[in-house]
Amino acid sequence: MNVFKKFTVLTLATMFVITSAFAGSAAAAGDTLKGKITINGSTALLPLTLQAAKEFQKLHPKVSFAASGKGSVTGPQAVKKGIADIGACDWDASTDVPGFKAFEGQVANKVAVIPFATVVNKNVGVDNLTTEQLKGIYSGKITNWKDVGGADEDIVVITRAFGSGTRVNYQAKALGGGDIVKKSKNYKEVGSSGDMKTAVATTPNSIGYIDLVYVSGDIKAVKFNGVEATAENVINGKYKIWSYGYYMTKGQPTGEVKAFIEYIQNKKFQTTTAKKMKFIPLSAMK
Amino acid sequence: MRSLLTIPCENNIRSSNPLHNPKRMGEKKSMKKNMLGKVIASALVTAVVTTTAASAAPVEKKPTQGTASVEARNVLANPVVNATLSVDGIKSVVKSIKSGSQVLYAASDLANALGASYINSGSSATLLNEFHTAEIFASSAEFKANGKEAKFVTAPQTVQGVLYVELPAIVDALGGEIDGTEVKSVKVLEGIFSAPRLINNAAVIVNKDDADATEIYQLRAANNKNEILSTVDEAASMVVSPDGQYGVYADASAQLILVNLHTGTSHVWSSDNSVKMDLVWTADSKKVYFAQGDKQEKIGVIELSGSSVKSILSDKVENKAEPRVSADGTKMVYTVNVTGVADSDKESTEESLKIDYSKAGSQLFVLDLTKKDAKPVQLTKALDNKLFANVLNDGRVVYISADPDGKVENDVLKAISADGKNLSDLIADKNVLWSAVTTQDTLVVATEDASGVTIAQVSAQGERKELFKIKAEVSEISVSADGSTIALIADGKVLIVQNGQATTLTK
Repeated sequence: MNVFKKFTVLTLATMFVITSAFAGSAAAAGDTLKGKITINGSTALLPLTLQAAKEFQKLHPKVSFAASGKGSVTGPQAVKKGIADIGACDWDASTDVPGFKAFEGQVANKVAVIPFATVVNKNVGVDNLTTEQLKGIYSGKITNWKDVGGADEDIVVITRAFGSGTRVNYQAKALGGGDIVKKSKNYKEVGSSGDMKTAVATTPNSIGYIDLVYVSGDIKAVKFNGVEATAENVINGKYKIWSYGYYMTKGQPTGEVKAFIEYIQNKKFQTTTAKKMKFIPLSAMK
Repeated sequence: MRSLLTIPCENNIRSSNPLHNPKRMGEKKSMKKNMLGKVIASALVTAVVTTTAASAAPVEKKPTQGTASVEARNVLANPVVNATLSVDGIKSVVKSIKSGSQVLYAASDLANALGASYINSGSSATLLNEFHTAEIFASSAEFKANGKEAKFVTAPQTVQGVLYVELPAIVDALGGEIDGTEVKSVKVLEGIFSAPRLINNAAVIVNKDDADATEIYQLRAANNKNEILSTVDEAASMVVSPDGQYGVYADASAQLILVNLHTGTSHVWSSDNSVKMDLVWTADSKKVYFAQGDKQEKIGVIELSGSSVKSILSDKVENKAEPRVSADGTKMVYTVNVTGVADSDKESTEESLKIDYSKAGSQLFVLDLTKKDAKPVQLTKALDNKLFANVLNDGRVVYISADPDGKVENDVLKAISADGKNLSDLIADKNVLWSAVTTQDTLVVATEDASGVTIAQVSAQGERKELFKIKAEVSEISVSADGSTIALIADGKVLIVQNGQATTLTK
């Protein structure tokens, strides 16, 4: 690979550069922005939020952040209760979605594109699942991997708890609005993306769903209707299980909250930090 | 005899630089038109035929909109005269003729003066440099600039077998510009820039933020030349090794890409796809540390001599950030962004939702890198904002403390002892904007007061030695430990400071 234009470097003089050669941003002289921004909600968006907060603070040192994650629905709930300035949510909570009414008076600010993937334990031999097969598995009608082309083993269904934005999006887009039916055995609910990853990685014959950012060597993503879960396939419209991530605010954001949302929406943050964290830049979506 | 001739240059150039996309060129057109409209490119003209030149009378024209001023001291009966052009400060003799109010220059001489190659194909001629081409056709006002249609005001003319062309159109087509009386073979970059990274005493890598797509440039102080290095989004956060040999960044798959800054080539250093944030080189340029994992729950490292990523710390504490290693490579400080704790019942009812933010904030931890499986030690507990933390060879951690409640007006440079017991203010009388520790274990800070922004070295006792002062909005800084070179972004422009003298590399 050669993405860099070849160029001649002048003789390297002996010098002592900062140990971090990217020496870093400094607060603009005369910066007056200050205050505390509280954020709660989606665990999927929490790492992105913390990274953005850290960068934003270098430009505005007197703005502090207190962030927490407890599932998407708790984002707009916290905003409504007045215990968070920003509710991080994996769906537009200003509109009705299956299972949740719209949060009146809240404004949805897009901050990221979140692809989701169906994941299985590495011992599962299946590489592709269709909408109908997934509906069968999550409704409890399909209980054995042999019925979807795998080995003769019971399927262990792992799902996110009610209130999860990942669950809302997965039901709507992967299951075509189908239900996730609680079962007495071979069924487990988890509370966060991290817990989902751990559960699928450590439970043989399990299936779950997770933000693409969490997919790594210890779990396996399967194709959806023959399409691989990749950022490229989300951007080109072939892969359908994705959503925008939103910062919900009570009315239009103002002051330091507005400045922070603008920072995270900015092309520079989206194409560098957000992309590095495996989110898809907002600008990539047509 | 010698006389002064300025060059008319009505801007009707439709060419575009291939490095820039058409949309952006369109946006910039009015600005460029303005700029070229004001250009007065002067040249010393020597008459080839002394007798006719001597009889010439000076002619002066005032500048008009869209046309540079014309100041001809001689009108020569003989059309071919030798002009002296200054290109990047180097003077070259170029044959010229007048065609109406226009001065045309010998294309082959221009190519030579501009450092371009010249290929004569009979009915056409091509001037080309590393990135640009201008294809000219005898007697045709149409020409091709970098493969696109462009137009001269006056068609090129052939006199005594030599092809003569307009200067401004050719300079522009070849990626240069005319600045006052000086021709520059490369345009001075214009725009908004960020992330200065020094790669040696004379060059700095910056990101161009106002471009539609990612553009990363290398700027050289000596001749103000610029070169685009990459248009890869993730390379915008490339971190340069202290010895200037390498750059590293994580791509969209979180693989580490190592860039050889000597050759411009890059390769996948490690195919490990765990998330890697806040890459930092060690002072000896042999290792890169980073916060690792989906939730940055680890500290990872890769060595230049290998290609495997190792986790040196995996204590399940999430949201680690900004590891920094002491100059001697024995200690690390990193930040943990402590989150609040939200709780609600199984049905996630609104009524049951509670959030405890009492411990949320940034805290500093240190890690002994000389001991395998060393346990990190938490140094701080206060809820002030802690920025630009670095660890010195003596174990002290230095950071900027900002009070979000505003009770402490200035952002203060603090030092905390290795055991966390002694916390002191190093600089509290001025607002501290930025700090860093060099590979020589020297602390460098930027402070601001009413007189401007000062960059200074700070001794262990807090004594400051001023390196540079500027009255501008400084947003980012990179500095050499001996103070000989500072790169900074001031009012969005890139400045490089050597021996206390600032040179603006962009406009």
